[in-house]
Amino acid sequence: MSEILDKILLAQKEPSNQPSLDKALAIGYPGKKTEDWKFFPAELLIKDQNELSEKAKTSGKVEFSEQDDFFHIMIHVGDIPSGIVYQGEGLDISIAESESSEAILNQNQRGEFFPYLNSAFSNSELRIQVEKGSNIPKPLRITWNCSGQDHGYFVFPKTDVNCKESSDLKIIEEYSSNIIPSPIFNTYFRAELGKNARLELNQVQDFENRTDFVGYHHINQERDSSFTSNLISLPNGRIRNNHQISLNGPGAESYLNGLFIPSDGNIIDNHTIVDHVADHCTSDENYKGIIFDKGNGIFNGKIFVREGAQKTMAFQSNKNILFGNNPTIHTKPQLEIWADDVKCTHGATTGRLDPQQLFYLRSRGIDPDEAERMLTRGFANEIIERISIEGFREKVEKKVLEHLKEAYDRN
Amino acid sequence: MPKTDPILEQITSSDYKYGFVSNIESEKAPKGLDEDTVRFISAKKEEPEWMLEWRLKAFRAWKEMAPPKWSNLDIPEINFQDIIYYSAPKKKPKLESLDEVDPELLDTFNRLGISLEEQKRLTGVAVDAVLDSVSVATTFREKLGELGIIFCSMSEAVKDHPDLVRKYIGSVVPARDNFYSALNSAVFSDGSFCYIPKGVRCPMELSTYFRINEANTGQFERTLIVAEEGSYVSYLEGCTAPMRDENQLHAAVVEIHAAKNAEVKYSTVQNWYPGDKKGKGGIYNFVTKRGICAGANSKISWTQVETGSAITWKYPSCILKGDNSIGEFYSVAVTNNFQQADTGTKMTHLGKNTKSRIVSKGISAGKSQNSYRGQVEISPRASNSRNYSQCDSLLLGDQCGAHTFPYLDVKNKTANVEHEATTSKIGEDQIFYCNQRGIDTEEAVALIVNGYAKEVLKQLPMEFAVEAQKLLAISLEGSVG
Repeated sequence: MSEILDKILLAQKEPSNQPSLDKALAIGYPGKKTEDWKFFPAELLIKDQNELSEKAKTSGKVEFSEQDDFFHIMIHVGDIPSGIVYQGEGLDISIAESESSEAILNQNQRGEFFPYLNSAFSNSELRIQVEKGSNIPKPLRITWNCSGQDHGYFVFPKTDVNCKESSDLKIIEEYSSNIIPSPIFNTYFRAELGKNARLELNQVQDFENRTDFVGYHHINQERDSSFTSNLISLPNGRIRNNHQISLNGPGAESYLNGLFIPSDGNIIDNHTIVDHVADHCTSDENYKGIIFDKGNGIFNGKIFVREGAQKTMAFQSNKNILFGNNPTIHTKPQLEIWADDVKCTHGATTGRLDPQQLFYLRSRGIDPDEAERMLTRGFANEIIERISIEGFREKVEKKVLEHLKEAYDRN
Repeated sequence: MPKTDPILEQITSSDYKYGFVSNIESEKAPKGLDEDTVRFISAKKEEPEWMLEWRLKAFRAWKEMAPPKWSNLDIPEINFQDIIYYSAPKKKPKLESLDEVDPELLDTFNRLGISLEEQKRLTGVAVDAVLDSVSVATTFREKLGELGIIFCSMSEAVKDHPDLVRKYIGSVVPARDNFYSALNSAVFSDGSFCYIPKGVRCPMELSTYFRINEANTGQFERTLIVAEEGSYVSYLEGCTAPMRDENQLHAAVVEIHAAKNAEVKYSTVQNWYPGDKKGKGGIYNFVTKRGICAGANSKISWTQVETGSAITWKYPSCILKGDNSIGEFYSVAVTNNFQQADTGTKMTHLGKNTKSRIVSKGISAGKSQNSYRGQVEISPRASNSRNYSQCDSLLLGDQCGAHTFPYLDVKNKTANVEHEATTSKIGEDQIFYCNQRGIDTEEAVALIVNGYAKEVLKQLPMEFAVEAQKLLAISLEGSVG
């Protein structure tokens, strides 16, 4: 694996944070023997990239605009000087120097390689602060776009969100790339939710060109805060998502919804960790997979209930449907519980569409193909419906339907 | 629910009732493990050359391996050179009947409630008793022989039925399978061998009783069950050990081969010494159990009640190779005090229309950690296969842990795989309901736990089910409050 590391270091610009780089090097690049990377061939990410001889040196920029139904932050990935992007209505957006490695260390207790790599090379970050009691009226759409040349193997978008007490924010998170072959996205997104704060995070992974993506979300929740993540993955390439939620104050709630539709040699690997540190917290996780031929879906969900986190309610569900030739799904729903007065359940199913439901539709004159599509659409809609931003939800639904249609037609 | 229950407290302090040591003279190998130890054991057993070669190959493989670290267990470093790998009761080399057995030994088994003579007369269960490393007595041999059933100790099987042993040993659990199976393959000293010929339905339960007696010894037994076409056998296994301060190692291997239309039912009540209330002593139970449904329509069913051992590392598994074959796994694992258990199963679906069912019930109390770890794998050609898994955990007390690690790997779109898990404690409303009807809290807990484990217990043969129910109650007493 050290070969890969040498290759990365050669192509990437100088690290902005040496301690983080040292940590990353100490952990080493994840290989097949790393339990958490068993089904996602991380070493292939680099091997599939073109040979790079020059060091990365792209300057980026950030644009802000206010649209009718959202605020739009467009970031062209690269070196961006610090400065204020937007201020007003309880919202404070800026580009700032990246935080020290200690902050990452506290979050990255599982000793993962990629958050450190991000921290080592991302010299600036997007910082969003929502003032106490502010209810941001429009969703914030953040687009990280990768264009131009000389990025190295990786690009390192980094976002830090701070929702202060009783604030309310909705985010749409997007990543796109115009480069072929695209550099690998290694993203890091951290959010702190103060008392009674609410954050809804919507992410659609829908790359036009083949793109590999390794993303980390670390969310810390204070008392009575509420976090919702709606993650729609329509991979074109390999995607690895990591969501780690810490419920640190009593009464906090977390809802993680995911829909992933890999097909045709694409991989989607979802890892979630919900850590119930405080008592009286609720978490509900619902991931659904529709896997078409040669697609590979992975769901690895962990729920930790710490000692003393009594009256915890933690639920987790992963349902998958398989179509075509050689679809693969690896599911590992995990519970680790150290408190006794809890209600925790998880369930996972994998199978075909219910023949009874198909028969019901066919007996009403709908042909088998159409019946199958209808049921699949219904299966996917359960997740899409969780998106609360009108207009955006319809767009997502359309995208998912197109993606499904393509996969069906190839089938 | 009251915070402490004096009656329960008192009963928890009840000691492990099988914790006595018998004064049986024994013959031991020197401490430590090298090729000479392997040769010594093989020579002691008067084994043929091929067996010794097989052992040495396993030993060489073992030397290259490292103990597995992936389990959710805190295993102290084990010094494999500080263990006696062979210990046998000093006795005449061959036994024809029970009358020739050392009276002290018979007494040991009587105290364990395994009266070999009585069992022979009354219950109609054929018993193979293994003390430390060596099989000391096998009952009912002649009667089974009439049907063509071979039920004897492994060492006898190596001598009397070398072709069968050679054909099947290591065929399901290869010597290099894992660290402990390699160790077992190198130094196994005895165990049971069971062969059911074509079309024979074994008329009685076959049973093996394992007992570690000698201090500082490890027990490495190997069981091999071969069920030929259309046969049926139900096999029971029980185990106990004396109370000792130091930890003892038990690394067994069980292999089952089921041919076309054959059915094998394997039940275990594991009650090795779990260590004292402070977590001192106890058996390390690292066992590899695996069965292969080699022929079509065959069935292997594992049932286990795990109440003993300081550390349990055990995954009875099924390879469903034949079309329409069925694998089942029923388990109740109870941990109390400082016990740790990481147990579960692995169902590998290779044939078409294969089915598997997993029911695992974990109960943790005291400061124990109880994990379920299971894998269901559906290979690309296993069309229309079906799996249902359910693993529930019950937590008694706020200092114990219950963990679930299921792996579901599906590579065929026609498969139907379901997994469900819940974790909870006994509801106050449930206790209240019982109290209201005049059942005190202690009884209520026993009632609820028994109901909780019922689905698994009812899979056990009758004699065992009664014992298992009692064991459950004893293992848990005092942990509720």
